[in-house]
Amino acid sequence: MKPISETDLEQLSAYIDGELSDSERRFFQKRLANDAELRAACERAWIASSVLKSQPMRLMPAGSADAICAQCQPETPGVKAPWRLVASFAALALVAGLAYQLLPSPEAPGAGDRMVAQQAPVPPPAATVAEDVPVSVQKGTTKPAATASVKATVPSQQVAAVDDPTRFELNEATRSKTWPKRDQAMDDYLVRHNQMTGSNTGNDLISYAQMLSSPEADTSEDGQ
Amino acid sequence: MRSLRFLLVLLILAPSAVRAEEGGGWLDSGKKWVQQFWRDDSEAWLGRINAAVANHNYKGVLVLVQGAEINTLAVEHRMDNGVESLRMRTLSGSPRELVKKGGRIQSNSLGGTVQTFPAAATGQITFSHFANAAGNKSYKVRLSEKARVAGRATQVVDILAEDLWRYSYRLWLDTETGLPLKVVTLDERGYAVEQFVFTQIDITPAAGKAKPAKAPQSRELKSPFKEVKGFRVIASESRAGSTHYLFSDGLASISLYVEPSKQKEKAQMRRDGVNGLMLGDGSIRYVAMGKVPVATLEKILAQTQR
Repeated sequence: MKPISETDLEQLSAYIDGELSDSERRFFQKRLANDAELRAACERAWIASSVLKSQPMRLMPAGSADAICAQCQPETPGVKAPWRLVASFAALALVAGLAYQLLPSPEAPGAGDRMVAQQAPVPPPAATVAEDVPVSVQKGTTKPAATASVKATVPSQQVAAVDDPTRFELNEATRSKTWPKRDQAMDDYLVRHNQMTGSNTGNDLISYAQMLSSPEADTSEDGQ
Repeated sequence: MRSLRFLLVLLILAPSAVRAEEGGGWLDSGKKWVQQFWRDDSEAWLGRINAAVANHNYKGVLVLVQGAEINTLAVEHRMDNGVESLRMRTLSGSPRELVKKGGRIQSNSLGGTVQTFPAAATGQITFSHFANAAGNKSYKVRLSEKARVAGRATQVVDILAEDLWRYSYRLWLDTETGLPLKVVTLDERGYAVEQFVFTQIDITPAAGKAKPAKAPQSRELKSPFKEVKGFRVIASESRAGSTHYLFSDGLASISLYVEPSKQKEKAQMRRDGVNGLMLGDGSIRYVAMGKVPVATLEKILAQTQR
């Protein structure tokens, strides 16, 4: 069984709590009708919700607070205290000994160095780094030291993913990324997409409206 | 008295019996009679779209909402003896105009350049792809509630995607003519990706006799995707080393660009309801874009690379 996504869980929860709007609820119900796993998850959540709501409310016994406080009273120092002190010292000495054995010496190459070598980032393309840097940094409103720290904090795995197309991972952060406004190449792709769609399918007013709002690209017949 | 009752019942049942004999059996006739009360007319409503566009002129104001962007456009559509002409003008943002007549589209940025490119194949008119959604296996069509748009009574028709590889659509069709007055595109989670709605519209009968709209000519080459079903290559072109393939499932379109590039790069983008993915592996750059979920583009790129 596939794990249900976080977004679906949120929607499911909102649906059960009756917090979805009319249209959202309708479409969620249609999804439920078509998605057996989502339906099963919904049924489980519904049952859990019903069971919890149907539990009778029980009041705690009147003296429960005093009883709990009595259990929490600090222990008076007794006969066992010296043994505890000795055990603490022994544990401390054991930890120190283990640490001394396991930590590599500064001269000898060890596992730590190998990890660093594996994680050493291949220098990413300049454009990629620039994308990861906030706009304020690009404009130079932040001190150079801050820029350096931003570059330094780019996770090595993320940089590796950029250079390795097989690890093309999508996440919520990149999903919300907007189309670069000044990327002419991307604009050209979009214009060509709209035009070929318009030439080959029964187009609709939305596509024509998009052609009007799309940036100009050199796709005119003269430019071809 | 009893014989009178018997005669009365006989008289009531006789015409039905005759019809049933003509149609082929009592049972079939009875089934049809019962089914007409539960008949879903959603496909019949979609079937009205082409005739509505072909037989009417309309003029109005259109609002297009895409994410945080709202654009207002003036639209004028005319049909002269089956030939569609369309004029659109932006009312917000930079002043631009688009004119479609016959098989040509001209986009004119006022004070800027003029672009001309071919329009859809002859016989295809605006909204005809929605009309063709009836019978499309990738979508399910359902009749929904009645509503009101631009002061006119409408019937809501849902075109629901059968899987999560494509978006769903909701159409508000004018009750009187069948013309789409509002269209909402919904993503795989049921959220609105884009909406267009007429806020004002005047509809008048078109002059001349409209030619019946032809179904789009399918120029299917092959079905390249195993998991993302329903999409077919409908067109391709090469330009300056870049090959552009256009896939369609009848409603949604996906472009795939394959071109040489020495850069290793990746990007994910979104504009105007269109998702885009770019991936360069050091020798070839792949770009996929379309009004489909990002997961669809991701899957297509992954299969293209193999």
